[in-house]
Amino acid sequence: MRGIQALVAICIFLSACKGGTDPIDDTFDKAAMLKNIGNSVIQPTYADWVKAMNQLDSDSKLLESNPTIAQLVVVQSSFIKAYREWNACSVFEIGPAADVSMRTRVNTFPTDTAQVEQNIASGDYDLDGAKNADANGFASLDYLLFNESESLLSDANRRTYLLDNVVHILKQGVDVSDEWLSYQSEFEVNTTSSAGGSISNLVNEINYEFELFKNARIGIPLGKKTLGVTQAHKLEGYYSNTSAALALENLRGIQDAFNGGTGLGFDDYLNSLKATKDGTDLSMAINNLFDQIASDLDGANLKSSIESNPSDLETVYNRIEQLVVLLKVDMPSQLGVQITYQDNDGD
Amino acid sequence: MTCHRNWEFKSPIKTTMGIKERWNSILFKPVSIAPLVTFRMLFGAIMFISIVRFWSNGWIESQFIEPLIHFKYFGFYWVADLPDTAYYVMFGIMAISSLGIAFGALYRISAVLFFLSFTYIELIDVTYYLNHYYFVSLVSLIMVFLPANASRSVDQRFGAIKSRSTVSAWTIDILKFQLVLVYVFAGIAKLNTDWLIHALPLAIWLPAQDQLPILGTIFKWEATPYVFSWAGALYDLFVPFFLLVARTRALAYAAVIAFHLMTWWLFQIGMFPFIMIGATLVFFSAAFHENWQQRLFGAQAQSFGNTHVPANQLVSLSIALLVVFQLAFPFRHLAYDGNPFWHEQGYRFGWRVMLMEKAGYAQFSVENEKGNRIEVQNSDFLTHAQEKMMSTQPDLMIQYAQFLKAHYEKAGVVTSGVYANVHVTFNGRGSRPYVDSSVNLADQVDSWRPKTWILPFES
Repeated sequence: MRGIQALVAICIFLSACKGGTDPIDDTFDKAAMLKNIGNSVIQPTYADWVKAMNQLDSDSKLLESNPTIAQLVVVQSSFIKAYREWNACSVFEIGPAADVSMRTRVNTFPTDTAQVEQNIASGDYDLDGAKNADANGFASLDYLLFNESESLLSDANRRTYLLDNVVHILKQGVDVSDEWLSYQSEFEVNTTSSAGGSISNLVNEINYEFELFKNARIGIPLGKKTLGVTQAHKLEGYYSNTSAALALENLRGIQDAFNGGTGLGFDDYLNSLKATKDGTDLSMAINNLFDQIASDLDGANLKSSIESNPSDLETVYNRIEQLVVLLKVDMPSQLGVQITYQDNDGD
Repeated sequence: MTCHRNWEFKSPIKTTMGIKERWNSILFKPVSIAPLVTFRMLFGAIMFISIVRFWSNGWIESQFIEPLIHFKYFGFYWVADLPDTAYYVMFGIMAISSLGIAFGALYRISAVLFFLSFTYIELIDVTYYLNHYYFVSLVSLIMVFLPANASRSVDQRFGAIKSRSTVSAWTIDILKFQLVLVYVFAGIAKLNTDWLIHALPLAIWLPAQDQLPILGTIFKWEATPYVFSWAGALYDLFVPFFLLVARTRALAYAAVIAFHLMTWWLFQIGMFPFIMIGATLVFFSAAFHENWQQRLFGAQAQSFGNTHVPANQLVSLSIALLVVFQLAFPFRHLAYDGNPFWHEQGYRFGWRVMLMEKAGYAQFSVENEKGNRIEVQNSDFLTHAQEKMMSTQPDLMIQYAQFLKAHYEKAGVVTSGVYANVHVTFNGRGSRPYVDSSVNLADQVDSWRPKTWILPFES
């Protein structure tokens, strides 16, 4: 009994000296953050993508009936626009996008050109089939539209493959964007920090996407997995030479997911927890690195850098590595987010 | 029946006894078998549920079959990975033998099979190490030697074992010792400045749960993590002793239930709370256990002739060794400099549960003879769970480095070294470098010796 009395006494003592029942922060509302990220970031980002896809779709249909150089240039430009818009959506592989593995469906790169050519020649393909996982989506369009693109004008089969892919991607975009509307309410009430909650899902996807950014979009082409032997052909947007622009949009998508656009986001959540890194606010350290990486990539030409001067990219790659640590180690740890389902001992 | 006293404090030790006699009178005093019977039934049943849960969660697939490689325990590198179907067979053996334990059917064989299959599966991959798995292995090993099937069991009904109403006191006390040990060591581990002064990691974990009904509001208060930390430490340190004393037992057991249900609700700690809630019933009196068993199963038909068990030197010695080992082994981290929560040398098998928030990121590089490097993408080789554990545990880093060396050499890379850039955060402090990135980890040999390439933790 005495132990229990002592315990109660200690509790009272601690409550008294630590500010009692003062909330740590009464302003932060996880549900409001999720609501904001869904409504003001995810939905508009999808909408922009679908809009650009519709433009690409109608331009491609015109090319089908009117195969001219002028129309090809129009399609090329609306493709780049649509590809960029997709890149900002890529991070949101949760809910309806996760159900269909959206990333692999619409943007597996580099594309398997031999398989693309085989499909065009045979005219018999299922774009959702496992065999064509590397021969569909934006990467295949990049190849068709920018590698010996004049053959599109003379070869109706190529134009058909182009249009089939555009239609396929457009359908994914329309579906996911529609389904998000009904998923939104489920998304915003799932405020648990456990695995499977929206916060955990977002933190996971921000990390997964950022690692793809680091490895697939920059590291692998830069030779980081091949003993320094560069592989420019593995760049996203290799044929259109738009890799840096695509990477920038991808980065913008990730940063918007983190900040919740201009509204409530993980930056505010971390601030409410007073999370710091080496004396500065963690949210600021993260945003500084995002901004620095973006300015490094702005106007860069990844293809020519990798082909002629790969060491130019070491600075930005180094910053990317620093940001991985903050996003993958510091952020989840501060938020107390669980990322796996299995039982744990708390370490 | 007068054997349901608290012998612990009222043992009729005569002053003329020598140490050996004293020891024997404590260990071999006949006491009611009833608590042991309850323990057997609950342990078997909870194990059965655990196995079914594990299986139905798809974890046999995701934890044992899907991973490309498995991390081994130091000293148990010989534990071989199994063919896919063999994992299901092993879990089948565990499920059946746990029922065998519960019903006391082919009890001894069941206990042996359960201990072996469960322990082997745990030794497959250190990624999934949990203190309560270690507890289950220890208890099931001990149970092999307990006559827990001598009453209210299938074995006894079919005459495979002679019915007994009493057993030697050690058979129950060893289980109590095991439980006291878990709590007290868990309590000692909480006696550090992070836990007591900074309320870490609860100050991170509790506010993260502020969406929960009722408690969520409390979790927003600044004082709450302190109250929970201190209450948790005091609970662990003292509850086993309140369980030992008859006067405080009921209240202490209520605390056991409340505490474990709370942790089950708040954290992903699986079956541990239920194991403890079930196992701590062993502290209750023989009368308590006889009472519920009679209500549920009727009076025991067999005669209650006391089967006197003579003192056995081998049993005494084994118990002494087990006790000494278990008291000493969790303290082995004291042999290492620095913060054991940081370097994790001597950390496992020490009943340190829910004590730290730790996360890391490990970027491995394989270097060839010309000094060119391959950056490793961990997800190419490891599951999410494996990567998470490897990124904060140095012995796993060595194993991973050696795996990478072998893997890339097989692929034709002349490997001169494997290096790691690791950043770890501990209890919410900013991430910092964890290992010396100039050390070739593939060349390291895991041992009891301090791993000097782990960078010190400075707070």
